[in-house]
Amino acid sequence: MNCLKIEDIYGYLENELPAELRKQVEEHLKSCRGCQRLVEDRKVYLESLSSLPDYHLPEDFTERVLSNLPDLRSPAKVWLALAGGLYLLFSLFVVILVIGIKSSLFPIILQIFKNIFHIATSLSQFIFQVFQLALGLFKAIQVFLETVGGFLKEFLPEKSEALMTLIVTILISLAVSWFLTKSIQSSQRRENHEK
Amino acid sequence: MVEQEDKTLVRRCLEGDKKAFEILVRKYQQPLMNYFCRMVQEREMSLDFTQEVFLRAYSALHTYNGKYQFSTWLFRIASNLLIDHWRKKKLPLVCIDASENDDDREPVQLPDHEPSVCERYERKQLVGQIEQAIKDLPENLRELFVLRHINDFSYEEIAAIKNLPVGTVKNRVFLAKEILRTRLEDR
Repeated sequence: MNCLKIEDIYGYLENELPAELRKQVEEHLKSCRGCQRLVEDRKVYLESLSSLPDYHLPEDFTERVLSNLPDLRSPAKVWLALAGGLYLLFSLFVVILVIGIKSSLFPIILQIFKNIFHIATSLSQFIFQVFQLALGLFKAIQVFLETVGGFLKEFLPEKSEALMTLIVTILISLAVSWFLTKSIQSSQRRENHEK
Repeated sequence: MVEQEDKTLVRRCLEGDKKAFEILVRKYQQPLMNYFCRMVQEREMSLDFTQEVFLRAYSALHTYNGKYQFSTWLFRIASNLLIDHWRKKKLPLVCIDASENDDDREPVQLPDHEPSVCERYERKQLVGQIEQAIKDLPENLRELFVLRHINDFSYEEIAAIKNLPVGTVKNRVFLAKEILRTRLEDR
């Protein structure tokens, strides 16, 4: 076997080597003075690392932690609360339905449920679209800032975040002004065309 | 055995037994404090972080998966807390020096008998130098090094905490050790 690699020496000292390799290392160490010295050196080094002292904790630390503990959210409690809520809603629904069927208010109650359903559908569609739009906008801004930031970093000296922010703000303002001017011009053109 | 003990304690906590959580806090507060002190080098901040880890762990105890060791789960929370901290601080990344070939170096001679006053003083100095050299390591290497040599986690456990391949962890810890050793020799 050739002389030991430093990785193997650490592996040997930390009992991380496979049995076969460990055996080879032990065999080699019997005859190689240089590797013996390296092993001894790393052994002393590892021992000095493992004897570093603990950092002191205040005596009341445990009590301090325990006194700040939030309410425990156990899965059973969460499921119980959810099941209870659903059961309440269902009961309310059944009660309203029974009252509605038994009385002359049935068509009105049915209409109310239909309206609620329609509102919920439109609202969820609207929220989804707004969310998609916001996400797209956020990603675009992020890419823009990363690109401009990376570009400016090459030219500006270190620790000039304020200057970088100013330049980025000016660039954004210019882009917004350009976009607004363009839209105003196109709407004017459209109006003239219609006239 | 220890693992099973932790899992039993977690189960008791979820049943509302605060005493069980106290046992877990007493067991892991010192390792967490040692970890944070070496990572952020500020005592007060390390105390706050250690407390925060326990509070986060307690709030999320119902999400703990018994497949993993509790200590690994706890240190994953600690590591994420550090990542958030660094992200907020936006620390510059430090270049990693290439380790030198040490084959021809003379071994360090240390006696193995009872230490005298002089030796104790030297030992104290050595501890100070090691702490300083750990502090100077790049953050990504320092964290893996601390988990391995201060917190005594196995490479597999560190890989689970940091969500990295075991081979990568081994290489980085090895690199950290050699950088540290070289710097100690230069002092």
